[in-house]
Amino acid sequence: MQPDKETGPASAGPLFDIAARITGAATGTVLMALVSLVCLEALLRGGFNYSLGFAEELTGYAVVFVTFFGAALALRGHSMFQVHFLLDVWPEGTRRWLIRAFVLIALVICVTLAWKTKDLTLSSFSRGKFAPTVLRTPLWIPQIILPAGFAVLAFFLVEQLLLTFRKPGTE
Amino acid sequence: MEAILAFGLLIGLILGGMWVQFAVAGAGLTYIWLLKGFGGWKALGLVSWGAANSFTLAAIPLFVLMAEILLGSGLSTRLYNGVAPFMRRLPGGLLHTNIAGSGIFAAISGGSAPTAAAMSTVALPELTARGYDKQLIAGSLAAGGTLGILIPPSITMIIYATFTETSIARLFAAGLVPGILLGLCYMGFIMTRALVNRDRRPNPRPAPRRASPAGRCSTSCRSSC
Repeated sequence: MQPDKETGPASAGPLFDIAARITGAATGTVLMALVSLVCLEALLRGGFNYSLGFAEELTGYAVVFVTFFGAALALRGHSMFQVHFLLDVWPEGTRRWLIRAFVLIALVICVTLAWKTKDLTLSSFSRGKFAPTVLRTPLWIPQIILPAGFAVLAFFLVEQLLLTFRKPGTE
Repeated sequence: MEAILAFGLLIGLILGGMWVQFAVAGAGLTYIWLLKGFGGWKALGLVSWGAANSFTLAAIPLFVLMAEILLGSGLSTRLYNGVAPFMRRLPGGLLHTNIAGSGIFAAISGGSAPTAAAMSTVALPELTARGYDKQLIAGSLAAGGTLGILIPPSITMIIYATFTETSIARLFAAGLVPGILLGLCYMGFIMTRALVNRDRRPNPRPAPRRASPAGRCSTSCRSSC
């Protein structure tokens, strides 16, 4: 919740910076769309006793997007919850190896979940599934957010792994 | 046995320093694998989609956004300065402001993390400059932060209500009185500590004449504190 330092989070290269900027811009845009949609829905419901039929559906998709892509940004900005009191006790070298092990475990988890959610998306696509809503959105379109989100998370995990190989003080 | 293993793994990973979200996911995947083998992971995609795609959960990013706006607007500093004059005469002095301020901010932000972050930003430098014991400052701020999940509106309650299909309004109503009582208990504990451990009372020396890190503590607040 703290504001970022002026220097920004540590970077393993311009490729990661560009990816972070794109992810940040996309997540910010979706968040503002989410806020606008919810505000409009609340205004219409409260003031005019009218509801946008598609608001709940689109809001749900926006929540999925903000959740996964926001998590990727939180990981890069070191805002993801971590318990540090034991980790900080270890000597620098041991601590780096522990972080590498944690990043590798997290990568395996991310790849597994990306793989399984990719299966879901392909299944929805091949079966031609539609959301039972007003918009009748083909489900594979919003569901593709899941594997994409896990892939972005995995991408920034790779960056965290690369950063552990840098000399202390250069991060 | 499987549950104990998975729970042990979860605690081990979290205490070891892994990101909490990945520790929970890792323990969950391990538990499913222990019970059903790799075949149990087939439903992961559908479960992930069903859990994340929720209109009710839209309240969470909105609360986080609101907390960020409040934090950036300097409201936490004004809130702190507004509450401080009412609390300074109690045994324990401005430590009560941490609890009362956290309780009020919890009713705005909806979470423990933004509450603790907002109050710490203001209270930590101010109270340190006034000679309060650092352990008591940190303890009161951490305790005050926990009010964020109890005093409505609470993000945690929204998540709980979503997955257990419980009424969010009833949960909010149920959390109000225990939240206030818990805040009063914390204040009672601070008073007891202040009366029993008189050696840990704040140093009466005045705060240094400099701009606070938050930059907005008024002159009247300084003189009254």
